[in-house]
Order: sequence, then structure tokens, then C-alpha cells
Amino acid sequence: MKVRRRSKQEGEAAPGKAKLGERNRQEAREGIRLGLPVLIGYFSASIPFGLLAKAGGISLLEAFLFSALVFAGASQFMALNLLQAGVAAGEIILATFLVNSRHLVMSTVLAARMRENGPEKAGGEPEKTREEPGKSGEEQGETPEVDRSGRPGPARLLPFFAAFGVTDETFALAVTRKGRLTPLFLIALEVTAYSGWLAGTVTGFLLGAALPAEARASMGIALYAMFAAILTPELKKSRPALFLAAGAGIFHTLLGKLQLFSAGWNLILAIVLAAAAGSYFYGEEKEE
Amino acid sequence: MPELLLIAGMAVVTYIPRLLPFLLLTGRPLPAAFKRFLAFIPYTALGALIVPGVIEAIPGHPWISLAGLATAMVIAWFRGGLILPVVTAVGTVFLLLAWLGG
Repeated sequence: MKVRRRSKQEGEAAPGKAKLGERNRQEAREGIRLGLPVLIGYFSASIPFGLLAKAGGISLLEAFLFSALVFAGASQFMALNLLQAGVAAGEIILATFLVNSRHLVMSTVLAARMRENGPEKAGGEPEKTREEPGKSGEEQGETPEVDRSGRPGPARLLPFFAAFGVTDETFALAVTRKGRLTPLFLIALEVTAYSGWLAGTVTGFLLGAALPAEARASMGIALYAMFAAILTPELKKSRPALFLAAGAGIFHTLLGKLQLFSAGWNLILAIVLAAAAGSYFYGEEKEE
Repeated sequence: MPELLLIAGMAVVTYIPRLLPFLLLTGRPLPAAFKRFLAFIPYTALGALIVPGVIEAIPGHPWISLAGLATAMVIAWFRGGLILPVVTAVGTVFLLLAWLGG
């Protein structure tokens, strides 16, 4: 809805801005297209949530609100467990904060990527390709000075929506996108993923118990298959991609064995450590 | 009702960390080293999201999980796309589970 209104406004504003409206629609369409596999994955992943919520004596409305307002899988499952165990709400909220504070890192990366692209200009500008690993950003020249608050009216609100939908999965997809990363693309991607999460929650609550066990279990592979499908073409293209991904997997496995931090932070640490190691090894000498 | 308060509280503490960087990160250009670091994040994120979690994707059936992952990778390698690999992987796992009798 937002997308439509905004692009219409811009389309009417001036003939030169019509291109920007067209581009916004393209961004939204691309976000939806890339969001579809997440929708499938989330639909499958949230069916157990609806099912467990029902088993735990939570109402359909409450289960729906969990998914609609929190929209963070791990912490929702955790909350169900803790509720069952009779843990107080305050403690559950604190635990949720600890689990979900990792999104701070993901939002930082996404916000930085968006800034890197500079302001949205009215059409005509060639798309910048995201740097391949092993190449530095220096040859790309200076990033233009951008002040986010310089955006026109409604566009100012976009980051508030974009922020709500940041999850491990939308993050992974958004950050892998070549070229520009715009708020509209991100929001379209997130809304698509979100609708899968909501639909799965309700479906799981109402019908989950009726699904055969094999069908429920087999959906567990969906999100991993999606990650693998994003990663595989990259492995084909660049050798550093393989080392970076494998390194992160090894770090993640080791951190899991060490059990020093929570699972959510192990994930973040593995991502950041492997990327830092990559910058160290591929950073300087591989520059062309 | 206490559940609704709990949900509201969880919603707030989940939203704040997601939002803050979007509000705080404005202005100055990013250092080149940080941009290079950002360029590596997609690959490390995907690696860490897949490994080691995929082993537990189908609880109690690590080999079926790996077979599902391999199916997705083979399809993605030769055909590309996202939906086809995902659907094929789920189908493969379903057939293997059904064949094993759960």
C-alpha cells in the first residue's frame, strides 16, 4: 500500500520523477520475488509454533499476536517453553531481549549497505555492482555524503518499517543482493516473509495436528535449502566465497561446542569473525 | 491478559535493537576497510546459518537432512533459482522419511 501511494505521488510530481516511481515499483517487485522462498520457509517453520502454542493453551489471537508483533522465531518458541515452565513475564522479556539483541548487528550491516548506495536519484543512474570478495571498495571512489534526514516526507518513515522485519533470513537475502539495497526492496522482501510467518502460525494452530508427521518434519529443511540455494551460485563464481562460508560454518560449530554464549550470539560472532578473518586474508594482497 | 502484556514487552525489546542502527547510522562515508568487511558478510552469514544447524534440520535424521541440503545445492548449481531448490529439497526429505516409515 505504502509502495503504491509513494510511487503515485512521485509519478505525478514531475515527469523527471516518473522514472523514480517506476524504479520504486521495480524494487518492490524484486523484493517480493526474492521473498517468496522465505515465505515458503517461514510458512513451514511457523506451523510448529502455531501447533505448540495451541498445545500450550495459548489462544489463537495470542498466538497470532506473538507472530505479528514479535516476528522473531527463536524467541517465540522460547517464550512458549518458558510460559509452560511458569517463568514470570519480566524474565521472559529479558531473555527475549538477550536473544534478539543480535539483530542490532544485522540492522547495522543493512543500514550501512543502504547508506553505501547513496541517495535514491531519479532514474538513469547505472546500477553499481556490489564488490566481489577479494576486491576492495577503494576503487569505487568516495561515497557521496548522504543525510538520511534529507529524504522527502514519507520516505523518512521507511526505515521504521524496514527495521521491524529484520530477521536472520531476510538479512541473509537482503545482504546477498547485488547492486543497490533500498528501503523499498527490503520492506517488500520483509512483508512477503512476514505474511508467510503469519499464515503458518494460524495454519499450524488450526490444522497442524492434522498434518502427517513426515510432512511436518520434512518442512524443517526448507530454510536450509533456501540458504544453500542462495550460496551455491556464489560458490560457483568465487573461491573466496567458499572459504568464507566454510570458515563461518567452522567458527559457528566451534562456538556451539564451547557454549560460552547464547545460540543467537554464536551465530553473530561466527559471521563477524569469519568476515574479519576474510578481510585480513583477502583484504590487501588480492587488490587489483 | 498477562499474555498480552508479555507479547507487548517482547515486541518492544525485539524492535529496539532492530531499529536503532537505522536511526543512528547517518552522515559520514564508511571507511574502506569496513566496506570490504561488509562485502564478505553475505558469504559468512550463509555459511554460519547452514552449518552446523542443518544437521538437526530433521531431528534424529542427520543423513536425511544432508540429503535434502545436497538436493538443494545440486538444483541450485545446475538450474539456479530459489523456489525450485527449496521445494525439491522438501519433497526429497518427505519421500526419504516416508520410505523409512517416519
